Amino acid sequence: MSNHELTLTIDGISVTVPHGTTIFDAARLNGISIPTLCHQQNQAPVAVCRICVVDCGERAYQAACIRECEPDMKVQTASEPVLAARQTLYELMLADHPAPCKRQQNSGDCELETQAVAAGVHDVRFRKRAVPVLGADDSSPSIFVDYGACILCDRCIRGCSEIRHNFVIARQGKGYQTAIAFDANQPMGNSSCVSCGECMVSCPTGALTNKRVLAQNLGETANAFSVDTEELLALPVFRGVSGTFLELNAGAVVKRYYKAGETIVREGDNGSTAFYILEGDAEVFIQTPRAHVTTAPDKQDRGLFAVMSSFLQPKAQHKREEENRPPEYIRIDAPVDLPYANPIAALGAGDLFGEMTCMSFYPRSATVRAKTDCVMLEMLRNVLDVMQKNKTFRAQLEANYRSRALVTHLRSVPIFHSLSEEFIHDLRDRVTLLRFAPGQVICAEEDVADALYLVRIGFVKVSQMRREEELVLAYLPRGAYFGEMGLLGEGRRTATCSALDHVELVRIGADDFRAMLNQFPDVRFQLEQVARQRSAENAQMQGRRESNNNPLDQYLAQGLMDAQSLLVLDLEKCTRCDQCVRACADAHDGVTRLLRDGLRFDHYLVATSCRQCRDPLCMVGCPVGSIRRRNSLEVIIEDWCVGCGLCASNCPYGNITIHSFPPTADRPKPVHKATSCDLCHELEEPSCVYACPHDAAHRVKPDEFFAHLLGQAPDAH
Amino acid sequence: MRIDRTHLPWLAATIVAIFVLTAAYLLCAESLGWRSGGTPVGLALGVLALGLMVFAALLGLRKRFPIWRIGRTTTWMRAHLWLGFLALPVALLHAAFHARGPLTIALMALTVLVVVSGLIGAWLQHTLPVKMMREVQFETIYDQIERIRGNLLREADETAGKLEDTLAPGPGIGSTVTLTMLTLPELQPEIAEFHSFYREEVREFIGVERPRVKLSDRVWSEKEFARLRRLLPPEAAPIVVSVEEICEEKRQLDRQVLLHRALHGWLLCHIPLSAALILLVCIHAVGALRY
Repeated sequence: MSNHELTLTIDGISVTVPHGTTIFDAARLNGISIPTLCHQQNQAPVAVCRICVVDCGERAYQAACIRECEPDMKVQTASEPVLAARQTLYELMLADHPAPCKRQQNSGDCELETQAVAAGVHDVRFRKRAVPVLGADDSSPSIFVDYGACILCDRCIRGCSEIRHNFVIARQGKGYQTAIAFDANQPMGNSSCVSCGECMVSCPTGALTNKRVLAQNLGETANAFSVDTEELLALPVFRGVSGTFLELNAGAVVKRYYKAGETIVREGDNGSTAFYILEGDAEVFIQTPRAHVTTAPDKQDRGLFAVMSSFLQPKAQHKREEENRPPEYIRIDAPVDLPYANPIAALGAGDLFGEMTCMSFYPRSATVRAKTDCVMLEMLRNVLDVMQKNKTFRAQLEANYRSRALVTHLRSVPIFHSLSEEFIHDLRDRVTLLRFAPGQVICAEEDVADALYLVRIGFVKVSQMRREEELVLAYLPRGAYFGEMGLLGEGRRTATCSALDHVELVRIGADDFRAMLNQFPDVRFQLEQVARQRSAENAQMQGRRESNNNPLDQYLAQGLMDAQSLLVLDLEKCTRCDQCVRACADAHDGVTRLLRDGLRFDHYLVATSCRQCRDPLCMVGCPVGSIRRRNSLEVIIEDWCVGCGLCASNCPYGNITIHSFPPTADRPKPVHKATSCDLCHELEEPSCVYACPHDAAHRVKPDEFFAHLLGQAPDAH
Repeated sequence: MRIDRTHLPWLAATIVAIFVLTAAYLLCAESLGWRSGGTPVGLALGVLALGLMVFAALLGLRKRFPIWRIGRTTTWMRAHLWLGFLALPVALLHAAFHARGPLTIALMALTVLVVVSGLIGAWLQHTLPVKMMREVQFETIYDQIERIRGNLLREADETAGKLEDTLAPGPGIGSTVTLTMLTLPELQPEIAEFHSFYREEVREFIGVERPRVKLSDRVWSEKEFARLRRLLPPEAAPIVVSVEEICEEKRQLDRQVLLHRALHGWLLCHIPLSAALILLVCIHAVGALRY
């Protein structure tokens, strides 16, 4: 025995170990197992669980993981009093633990529960926790957090900080309210967590579990091959991603080979993956014909009456006189926008597409076809999320975006159309690209206005708080911009903008914004015009909301307050002749957009037809932004709709239907398009109202039309 | 079409037109020996009557092409009502209140029938929509009634089938099966009576369009369902109430069918008579002018 060593007795066995060795390590080195929960070999001991208590012959039991050995020390690791103390500790912890926890349910290896059973603990004498713990946190795409199952062993904290050096997890709160927290107590998905998985691997219970996103494994097929972790880590875009994470999520990323001409994804299809192009070129385009459902009847079938009908009915269709400029670009789920005139663009190595589908499960916005032989990585949401947080990958994506798409993106915004090339190129290097998680506030009402934002990916909700009630002013899709009102006005934000889903923004700083306004008076003029218009709309909406503070529950329950225009049928006049339905069908190529059915309000039937809601949920998620508001707040569906049906399922009133176009010689498969009442906007009066013989059908503003019923005005009807 | 205050201008114009035409007729009638049809005034009145009838008939064509921008259909409908009605006095003045020969007798009779059927139709369309709105709360699209009846029957079968499960004692700790009526000998007669009532009355009532069964009578129905509620234990009340509500919905659908047919059934008389009238009027006009 050297001077550096000492001898002690553990459970009657004489043990020699170097100075500084803990009792736990000394016992382990000599084949004596001491149970523990908070201690792991690769982490610094903290002795917070106290399960490893041993009797060293001192006044109190010592935590073996932290207590260093001393010469001639006599240690008892499994005496009856020690075992009894351990049992009590297990019971105390189990009283705070939802047994069986998620991990125990899934894999039966919750360390606390298995150790407690091994220690002979079957019933817990203590009452369950009276103070409610934090709820579960499902915000991370790859890790599920169950605060109730956490025993505060700190293994995750040490894993995150000591092993991975990410420093995301820490403790928050005091005493009985103590819990782990991510960053400054953010939901895990909103935090700077990179989903490396170290905390999950470290956790002894079901507090941090692998979500196995979508419970899906992309698996191997004829053109898909699983990729080894080493191979992935060798790729520059995966540099810095945790190998543990990739191993845990094996199968969530595959390598696919496509031959030239092969279709990779098709517009309108549902999916849950994103693609990263490793090699080769692809083209992205919209295949669905750009047409409204109100197409002219087939010329071959045109009889005398059809000819007369054309003559009698003015067909000034699709004229959007309120629009100053026709649309130039169609926004899709890729780093490029498609020109409206010829909706096709190229993607190359290093491009990522399908982010919105992958992160927010929106239908595919365009068809992507291999132009040359291609190699791509197809990945699930958890992998993409980690990659998005990977600095190397982000830098590459941002560089691609800045060099290829940002100019197009800026150009596609009508108000920036007149910016010079020089200015845009200058701006390109100065804008910041930002990411926001669902629900995250981008800017709050009354904050200092310091930037203009362009929506690059996702949807932004614009709202104001009035009388402790949230009033949604707008949902902004990809291509929209916000923040100009604060910059042009009093320097404060006029509304709160938050991310509805995974949002990416282009931030133009206040200085650049002002430089732009000074240099381009035309842009200033247009922005001021838009700001005035938005301000007026907001005031109008607010006024309506406040004036609609009526006592009629039914009015509220039917959501009539939220409607801007209702098709109502006076049931005292309506003879149920269905002329309105027939007229609607005639006006829209045989497909009616209204159903003479719905809820009643007073003696009116609120027909199933678009209400032009102030809070148009139908717009949320449109992958190509084809459902949108006109400047008049009217909801229209643009002709590049890909028929995915998301708007129809989002509409709470069932007022949007999907219409099928039959196959033709050029198009072997039927295509679909969403249809909803367009108020026959090319005509002076909606056809249904015009055709009603009994003066029963009316298109009305509900707050004005029903004012007499709501006690707000004398009977005008 | 509901005849309300908005029709006042049309009513006034029609009355004025009748007065003016009658006055014109009376001024000329004496000098013409109270003959009418062949005289210039008579011919003018005849042409006017024909024009009014043809215009009234054009409403059908107008409705056939509802999106034609040739005037709101409601205006056409008002014109149809009042000008169609005006055709009768004009025709009478044209004929000098005489009908000579079988064709003119037939014409006169048809004109009266068409106008009367139209008046009945107008009255039905004035009153029945209000009745339908008040009496048929569960109104649906008429063409869907058949399908909804099928759904109601299915729903009723499912609801009635749950009676035994509802009455069975709740499963105890660890039990995995629901006890059935085999364990409820004391309630078997009541359960049998419910099912017998359901089979013989309810199914018969729901499954057929406007059946002649006692459940069509709301008062009798309420009495019977109240009796069933008393007969069965309180736990079965929701089942009985559900079946009663289904019967009420079906009763309303039957009512809707009845009212809908009344609302539109008169057209089966009005339209053929109008078509015959137009045809005979044309024959009469051609014949009279030619011969």
